[in-house]
Amino acid sequence: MNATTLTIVTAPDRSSATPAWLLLARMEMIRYARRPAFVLGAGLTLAALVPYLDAGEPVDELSMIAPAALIGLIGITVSAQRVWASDRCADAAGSTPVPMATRTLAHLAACLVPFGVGLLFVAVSYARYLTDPPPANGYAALMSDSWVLAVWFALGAVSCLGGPILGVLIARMTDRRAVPILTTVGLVALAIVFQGLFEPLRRIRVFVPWTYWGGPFGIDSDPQRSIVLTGSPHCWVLYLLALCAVAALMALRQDRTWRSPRNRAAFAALLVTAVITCLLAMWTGTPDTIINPLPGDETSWGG
Amino acid sequence: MSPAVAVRALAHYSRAATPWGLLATTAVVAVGLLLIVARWPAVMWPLHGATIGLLAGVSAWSADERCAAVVDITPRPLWWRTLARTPATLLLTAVWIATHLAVRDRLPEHLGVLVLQGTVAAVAGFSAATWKRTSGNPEPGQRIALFICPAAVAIALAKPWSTHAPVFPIWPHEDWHRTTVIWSVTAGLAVLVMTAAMQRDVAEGHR
Repeated sequence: MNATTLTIVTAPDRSSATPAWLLLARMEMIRYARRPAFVLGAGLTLAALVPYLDAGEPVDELSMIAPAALIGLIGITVSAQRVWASDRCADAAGSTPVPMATRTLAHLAACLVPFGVGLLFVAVSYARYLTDPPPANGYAALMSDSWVLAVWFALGAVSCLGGPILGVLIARMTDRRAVPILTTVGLVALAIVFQGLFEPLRRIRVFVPWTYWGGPFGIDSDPQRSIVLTGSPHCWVLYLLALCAVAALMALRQDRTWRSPRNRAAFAALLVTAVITCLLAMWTGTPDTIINPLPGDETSWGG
Repeated sequence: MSPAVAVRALAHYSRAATPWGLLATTAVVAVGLLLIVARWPAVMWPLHGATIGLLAGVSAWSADERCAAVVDITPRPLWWRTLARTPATLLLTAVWIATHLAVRDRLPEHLGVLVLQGTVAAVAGFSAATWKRTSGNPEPGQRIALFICPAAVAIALAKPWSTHAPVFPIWPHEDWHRTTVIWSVTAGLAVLVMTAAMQRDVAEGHR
């Protein structure tokens, strides 16, 4: 009688090899990408690129408000809703094996989805800028390529990262559903006041996470004349990224396990970095307002 | 039940069901935003669209029924409970119209369109939430508010396709007639949605 040996071959358990936060991050990224508000905003944003299919269409140097508003601003509530929804699931499941910090990390990773769309928008716009020079009477024509890239990256891509991260932070700090809405409205009011239209506020405007660096702000004799505002957009990008990191760490530190002395030191270092880069953005770079010598375009006003 | 008793019952329910705190906060914020817009209309105009979104969102929010599990099985039909919740929408609309009348000299010369925008937004938000209530969702207004407010703010700021669909116009050269058509169609749809919600409730047994 032959003895039959049964060999059980098991497939490698990938879930044990992959960190929990990474598995969760993948799920949260997919969920974020499926949110109707995000899909609508991303669709409207990418639709703004459609005119570039026409080879003769010059780059719209004021178009960076589209990803910032339609993806970044909407991202505040989308992210907050996602965090609250996952918290409800965690509460319903009782004692879950995944701690709050891991879930927060996954939500922060999901913010890369809107950031990716914003980055795509900036990349396409910048590619068009390189192949087809912008209008000579605009603001981009007055500045270097790296200046334009820094401004567009900050306005079009970093805003799509910062909004959703702020949403995660809000959801971690409060469960009041009206807070993301009021924050959105408040941020818009702040951005409008500090967008650069009011001359006395032009120098300090860069502390706001979204502001203009150039556009048809006009002069006394020509209300549509393009000008370039003061400051350094390169330092501003660093300031915004530092703000994102501060908000992310604040969200993570809502979990007690993340309140170690090392994290506190990192948090303090990020805060100091944000303050220094903000001051550098104010006081370095373009020292005075630059006015385009060419008259403005009557139809160029975009806000 | 005599009409007087019925009205008293409706008023009592309405007083308890209306989210007065949220309503008062929204009214104050709306007036504040409109006064800022009136002070610097050309610069602050996106806040006008943001206020419209706020009205639509809070109006939808006021249709939420936290005790849906209880009220859904009571003899009170949806039309009765909806009627009891209308003060929120009416109050927000009244605040919108009154503030516009007070600052009309500093706004674009299309007062009718501006009033129409806020009124329709409030009614549309309320109708959408009422429709979702018939699906058994107890608090659809919150979700609608969390979508509609930021969406309105974003559209007011970015003004996508404003040449073809001027949802929140400001300049004289913009197509104000088309804006009137857009908001009138939205009003018609809101009325249809509200009617459909009532009919659905009747079809499902409430009378």
